[in-house]
Amino acid sequence: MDFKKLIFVSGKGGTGKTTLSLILARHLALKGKKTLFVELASRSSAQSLLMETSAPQYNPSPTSFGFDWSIMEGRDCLIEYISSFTGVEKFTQKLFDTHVLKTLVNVAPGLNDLSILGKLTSSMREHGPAFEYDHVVVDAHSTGSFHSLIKAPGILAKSVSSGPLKLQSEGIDQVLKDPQLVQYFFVGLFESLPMDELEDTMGTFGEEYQEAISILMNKKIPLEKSESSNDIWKNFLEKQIQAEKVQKARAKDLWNQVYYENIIVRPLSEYLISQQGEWLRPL
Amino acid sequence: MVTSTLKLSQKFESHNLLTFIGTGGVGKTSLSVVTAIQAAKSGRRVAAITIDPSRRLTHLLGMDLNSQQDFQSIQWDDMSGSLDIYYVDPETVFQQFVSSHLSSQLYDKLKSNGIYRQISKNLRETHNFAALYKMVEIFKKDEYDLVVLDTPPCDQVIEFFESPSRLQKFFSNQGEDEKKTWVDWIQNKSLKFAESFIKKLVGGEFVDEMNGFFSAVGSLKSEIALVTEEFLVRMQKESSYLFLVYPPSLDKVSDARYLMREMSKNNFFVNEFVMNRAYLKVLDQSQEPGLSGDSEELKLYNYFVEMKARSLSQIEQLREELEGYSLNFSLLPEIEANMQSLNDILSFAQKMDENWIVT
Repeated sequence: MDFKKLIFVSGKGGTGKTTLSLILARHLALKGKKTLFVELASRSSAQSLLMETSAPQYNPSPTSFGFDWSIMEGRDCLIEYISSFTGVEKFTQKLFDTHVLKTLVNVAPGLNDLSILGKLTSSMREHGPAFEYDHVVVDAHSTGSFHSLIKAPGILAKSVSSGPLKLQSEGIDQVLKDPQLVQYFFVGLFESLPMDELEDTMGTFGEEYQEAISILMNKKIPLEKSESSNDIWKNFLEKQIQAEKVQKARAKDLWNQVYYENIIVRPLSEYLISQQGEWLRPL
Repeated sequence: MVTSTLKLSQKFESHNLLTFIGTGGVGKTSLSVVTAIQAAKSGRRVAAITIDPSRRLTHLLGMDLNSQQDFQSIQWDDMSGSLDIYYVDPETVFQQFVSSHLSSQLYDKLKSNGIYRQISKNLRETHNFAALYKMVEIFKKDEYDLVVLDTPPCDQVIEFFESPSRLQKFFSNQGEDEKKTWVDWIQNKSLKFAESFIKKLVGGEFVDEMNGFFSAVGSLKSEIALVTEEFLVRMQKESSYLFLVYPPSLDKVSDARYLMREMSKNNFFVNEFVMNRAYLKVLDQSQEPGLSGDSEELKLYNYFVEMKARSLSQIEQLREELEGYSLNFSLLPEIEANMQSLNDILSFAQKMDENWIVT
């Protein structure tokens, strides 16, 4: 697969977004690409999965897996953005310590979202402080919040009639819809309820971001049938495999670009170290 | 480890509010519905409040989300109590709250304000507030023995508990650091430089909308405080019971630890940690895998066995670390579920109840 510069990974809660983003970041690093893994959160989930002793910060730092990592919230991005114009970080920090600006950031949820997206797309728009990476893999929010994040620039561009906010919003919105620059992975599971949600998600995102979207089905059982002489286990596993086939058919019906990852039967950090060769198998 | 199961219906006879919190996708909604069903089966009059239910669940329960009525009574044959499921659409409920506390003139003005539209739709605090407002309203009706509250999905559980105070601060628009409101601030001449700076950043209209918004909602502050206080009183009563639902993944277990410290700062206390889908139920029944060599299947089987052991030891570890908090720890193994009808949900509820293991 031809990986784009900015890669978002989203999906329903509990499907394995963080795990798969990490595998992807590792894969790109192994191909010799300068890669940044970004968490959009206030607390890191990746830290315990990678068993790293220190937590990621806003400014990228190296991991022991060949890629860099960073964690960001809207506020950090906005401060950095404004500082790059005022040239005085202290002034900006001070401004942000007043409750008025805190309120401003909170009251305009779009502004928070816009700051994050502004940062992530800055190198492509040649505007603001940019990341110098071949690939940026974003472990994004779960589907609902992700939808508001991605829609924010478009909505803001429409609701503000002029000024820098409008220009920035339009620019970001354009980048997000450019399949040459940005790519989206939605993580699914071979289970009926998560599959329902994936269908809904594709209904919401599908049309507008079509070419840029791939589905990544997680936790596939890597077997066709059971060889066990224990009937209880054998029945259970074969039932699971059958159920998986039903969901597999639904996934392929739903979308053209569908890939899968098997259940990983060892700790993730160990798995990443042993990871090699091609990744991302078509379902 | 001593384990026991106690029927949900027995366990909660003395409670009138059960709240389920947890991050998205952990099964909060399923567990709250299961609990509500079991309580209704045992004869209690139950109201279940749910936010963002799955398509399938609403379909199977026969809920009509577009209906004028904000709840749906669910009935089945051997039910001795009653079950009303309330569906909270955060935007609608929040608007109900605002419109009922403002003059119609003020509300009409507010409705066209872009900032108001944004926050009633997108602000997470608003969603959380809608849930607790609904809960308070239902308590006021005094028609139920038990209210089961499913909270909105959030990336971090702590958000739910911080939301009342954050929303209050937000509407009063006063920080701890300053006494001035947004309106005072923007009119203060000595701070004009900052205003022009913000105007440069976000455009003049935005600042105007902001001023409009705060002058309209100023009077809501005390109403929000009232609802919040009522909510706190309910939550902190002996008759309230709080479940934290989490999956057996490393990062979420570490979140749980963090959460306890943060929550106690806000005077909220979880009563029970529920590890959902802790391990495969089938592992309780089959002892020997009947597999030879080092086949892929044996690796898979061993992995599931390891996962089970890991889940159990994680619970023990949490118990040790959180010893001072008088918490219950329970777990639910993963049970096969084929949900095609209301009857399937009822028998699933029965199975979940039987397998809800208190460790």
